[in-house]
Amino acid sequence: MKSRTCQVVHQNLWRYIDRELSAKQVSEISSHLKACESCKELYETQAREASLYRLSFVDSPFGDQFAESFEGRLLAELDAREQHDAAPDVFTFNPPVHHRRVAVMVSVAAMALIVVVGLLWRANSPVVAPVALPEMAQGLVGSGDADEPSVGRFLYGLEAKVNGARGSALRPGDKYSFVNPAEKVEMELHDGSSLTFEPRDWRFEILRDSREGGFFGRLDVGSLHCYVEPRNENPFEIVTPNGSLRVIGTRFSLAVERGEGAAVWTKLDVYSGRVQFRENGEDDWIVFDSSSASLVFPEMGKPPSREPLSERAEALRVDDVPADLRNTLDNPVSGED
Amino acid sequence: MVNEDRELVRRVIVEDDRDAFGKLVKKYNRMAGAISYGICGDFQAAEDVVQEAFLKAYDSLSMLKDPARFKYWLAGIVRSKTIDYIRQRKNYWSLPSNTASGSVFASGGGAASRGAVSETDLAALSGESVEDLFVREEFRGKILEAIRGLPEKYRLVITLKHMEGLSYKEIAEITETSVSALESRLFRAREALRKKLDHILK
Repeated sequence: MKSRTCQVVHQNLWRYIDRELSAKQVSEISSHLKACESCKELYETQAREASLYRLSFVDSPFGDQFAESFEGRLLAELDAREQHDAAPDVFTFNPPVHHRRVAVMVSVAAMALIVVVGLLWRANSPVVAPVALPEMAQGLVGSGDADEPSVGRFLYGLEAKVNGARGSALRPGDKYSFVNPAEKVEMELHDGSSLTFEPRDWRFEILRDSREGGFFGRLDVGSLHCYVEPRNENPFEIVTPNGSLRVIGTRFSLAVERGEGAAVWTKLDVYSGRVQFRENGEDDWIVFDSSSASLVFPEMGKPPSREPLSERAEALRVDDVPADLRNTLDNPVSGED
Repeated sequence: MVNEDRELVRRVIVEDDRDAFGKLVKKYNRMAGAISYGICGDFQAAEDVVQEAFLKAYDSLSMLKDPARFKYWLAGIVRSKTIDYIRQRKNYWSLPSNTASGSVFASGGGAASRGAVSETDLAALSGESVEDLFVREEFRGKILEAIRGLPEKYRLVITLKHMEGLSYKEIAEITETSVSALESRLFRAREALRKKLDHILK
């Protein structure tokens, strides 16, 4: 049978954990918890819950980091207002105060325009366009319909707009999930590497940004063409449900197909350079290069057939890819349709 | 503390002191983020909304009647901006909310994992301290996902309490309710969350 004190303690336990009690009440409860095993157990359960909930927020994008990046945004906004004249609204470009980044941004913006033009020409169906990139990555997303073509772009520290709706720049740890996209989606990393997602369902997660000494991403499902800047000396690694790929300076395609139930396959085509692959459960990295045929992991039970990845890579519209990537295509396709 | 806000607000208005505004941003961005996330359940959106809210606050600071109440005034801006965002998103952003960014990927095993906690998770959990557990991102993701899946009124109080650690009085003021009503809402929110995470919390 519980004592009256136990009842009082139970009633006040959350207030105790939430630090809502007076010093006197706190010391009363503390000394009761030392003496009463069952109250102590209850306390520990609740305190654990509280700390789990608190810890689950540790990666929230808010805190000092937010304040710092907002400062740049605010200054840029105020500068822009002072200079604001007749520039059309959709592509107001507000260089942030970080001067060293400006040059990169301008070149990315130029690339963005190239792709944007390509996308505008193709725009013909309403599209889902989550605008999302990790903190240090830069790139763009296109979307639109025939009547009202729209484009989005996102640059670190700036907002993106898609059809007037706000998009956002993401941080490492965020995830992209596209359902039935009508367009390819390009992600441009700050070092010039790029990821191009084919227009089919895809899910991708940036695990670590390339400025933290290596780019790590996870492709859960979807088809992805990668161009890794040859000067990039940091590891560039993409994890699939079947294993990990690690490359330095190369160009390859990667597809994750899902079958019935938990069946999942990873397909790899290497166009230049070398790619290391380590299958789940294996210790060794196996090296593949452009002489290797299309590879499928696991080897048993191949995925439902689709057109070979290499053909799809050829079908990549040259107009759609940034100049840097275009130059690296082995056999550029000229024109389209 | 509140007097500090009054002084900072004065410096922004009278002296056009951007550093003073920076201090307010530093001090209250987590609270603003907690409010916005609590309402919309999307960190990415919350980040944008909070930026916008601060810009709006900066612009209309001179209209703030009682500078000592900057915090609650900002909270109101964040709330209305978040609601605007949700309306706008309905028009333009048609990603199903389950797959929108912020959701937890199905882990290697495929479709099995949304929300539910598998046996492997449980096995992985035994014998580890709370800190060890949190090295496991997926696990943390599941808790966030459970919080995200709460009804808005519960999610908001949980977020204000656990993300930002506000007092009952502050949360009550932000959510425009009494402390006792807030307490019982928070209690029910924790019950709901415990039910969702029963497997993990034991």
